[in-house]
Amino acid sequence: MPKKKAARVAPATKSTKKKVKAVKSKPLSPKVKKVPAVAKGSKPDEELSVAVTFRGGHGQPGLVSMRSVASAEQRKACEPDEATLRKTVELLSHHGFELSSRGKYSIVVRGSRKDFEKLFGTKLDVARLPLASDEMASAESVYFPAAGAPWNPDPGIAQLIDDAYIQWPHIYMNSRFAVPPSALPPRVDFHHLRVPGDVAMLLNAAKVHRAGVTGRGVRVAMIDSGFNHSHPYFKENGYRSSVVLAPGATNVATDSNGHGTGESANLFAVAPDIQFIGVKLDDDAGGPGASMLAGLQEALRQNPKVISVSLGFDLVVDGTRKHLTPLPNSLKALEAEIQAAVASGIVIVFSAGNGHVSFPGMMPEVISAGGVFVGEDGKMQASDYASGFKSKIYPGRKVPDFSGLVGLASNHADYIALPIQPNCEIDVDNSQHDGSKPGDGWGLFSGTSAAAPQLAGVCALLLEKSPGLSPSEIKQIIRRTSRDVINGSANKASSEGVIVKATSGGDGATGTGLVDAFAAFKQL
Amino acid sequence: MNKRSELDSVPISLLLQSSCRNGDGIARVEAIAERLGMDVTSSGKTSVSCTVPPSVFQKLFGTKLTQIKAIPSGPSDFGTPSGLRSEEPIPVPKDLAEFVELISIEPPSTRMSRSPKV
Repeated sequence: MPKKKAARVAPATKSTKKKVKAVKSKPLSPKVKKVPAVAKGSKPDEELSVAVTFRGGHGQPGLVSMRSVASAEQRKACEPDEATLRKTVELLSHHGFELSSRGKYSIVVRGSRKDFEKLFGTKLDVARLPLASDEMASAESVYFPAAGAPWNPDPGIAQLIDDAYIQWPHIYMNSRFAVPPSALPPRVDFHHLRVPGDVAMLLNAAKVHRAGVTGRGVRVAMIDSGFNHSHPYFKENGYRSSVVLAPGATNVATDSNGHGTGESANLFAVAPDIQFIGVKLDDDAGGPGASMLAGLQEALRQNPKVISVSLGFDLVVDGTRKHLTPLPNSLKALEAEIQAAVASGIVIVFSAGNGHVSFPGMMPEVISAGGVFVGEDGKMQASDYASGFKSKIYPGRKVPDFSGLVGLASNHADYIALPIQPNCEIDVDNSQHDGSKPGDGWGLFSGTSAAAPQLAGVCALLLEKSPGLSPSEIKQIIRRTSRDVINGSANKASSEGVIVKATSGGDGATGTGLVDAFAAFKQL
Repeated sequence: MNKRSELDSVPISLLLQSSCRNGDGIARVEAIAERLGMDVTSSGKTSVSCTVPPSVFQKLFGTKLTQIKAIPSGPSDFGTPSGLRSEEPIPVPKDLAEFVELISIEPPSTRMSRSPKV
């Protein structure tokens, strides 16, 4: 587990709300060797991540202010009701703070040092992490109330919350991470794409960025194995993210598989300024982790506008490639949850599959992301790695809707260089053929797992420009503006051996073709 | 840290009746589920997710569980984790029948990128 150090700020209870000294944080560990000083110029981030907890019922102290372990009843009383939550978020937003994520008992917001000082009537100083020489943290210092700092929270906020904690940078517990990976991908000797530049350019998102639209303020949740955004690539590009755990998942800071971390780079390449909420499904200790439904339920709690999922179920009869029908009962709760979420205005993007007969990627309500390969000469063709099929469960439904960038089967779909946690499963496995080295923190891979977050990024760009767009309007806009692909065919493993070719106009291989973010943007 | 196994607890999904897909309905289902020995882990707009110890699962539902083996990374994806499957339809307990349409165990999902071992 990572050492997560919360900077405790004095509780804003009625008895202490006037002027209270900030509680000095405990030493991180008396045994660690302290770094002598923070390097020149490495000032803390001016943006703070602040965890906010709530009071118990009837003005009682909240969970963190209790002097003994809370009972189940006390814990229940500390869950904020929707009205309190909404009021708090609104008030914090009025004071310049933006909601990052919400849990059962707390929310996390981001805001500037100045806004924090103003809202809580305090003064923050630079605090340095006493790191051991072999330790690395996501930052070496943080703004924090010094001993004796004043504490005069705004009365409005003091009424609503129990406590506010500036979140300390986390220390990486994986010793292998002590040597950080490069922020740049390795050089390989075959045609491939780099994030963010190549992906943004080929999807014509770079032009949208130049028009000033980058997904700012749009909440996008991504459900996957995990998200290790401490990789220097994410920091170097200035991406912001928060990660929540679905029930059963462990450790917000790691991703021992690597899938979620890598695919999230596709999303940021297209929409760099989104409010990214990663919903982690995996238990890095090797347990079963969370189901997709539990992940979706957790994602919905975060109030996203877009959800991207690069996972699915291959609905074929056991031991064959024959389509399974009807939908198994075991997936009906997931189906209903997706239908309700889309009906409430959330855009949900799923991978169409890599020869899989992919569910939920075949649901009519979702955007189904297929694959197009763009060669070194710029020519487009349907990826023979991506699925293209007619659903037998939803008559009339053709998969995919349109496509993102996916490699070819002949090259193992090794196509996009993506940052991953060093020594994670993908880092080790893929290095056998993708030109990267095990442990270098990079992998070249794609599949419709890459296409789904790319398309989700395009949706986020459209929603920044026109926040009122419905999921079906977004689908229609992207459909009519995609670039037609007339060469190649989809992976026949998804279509019971029938070759589905890309042809002029909409087709079963790529849907309406490769998405064109700028052409879609111009429609608004 | 001890590695948890699929057999430590059974993850189940409760699909709510249409009339119950609201805040009050979800709260009622959560309360009944907990009373029956389920541990509510999360809920959405139409469903509630729970985990149940295998002994409680047997007592409540009486259906046989089978372990689904993990599928390693293959030519078309990064593999599928292991999971559980119920051999027969899972009956809805009497106390939940008014509110819950279906109880099921969701199978593990597949990661849609590839990592062929060569």
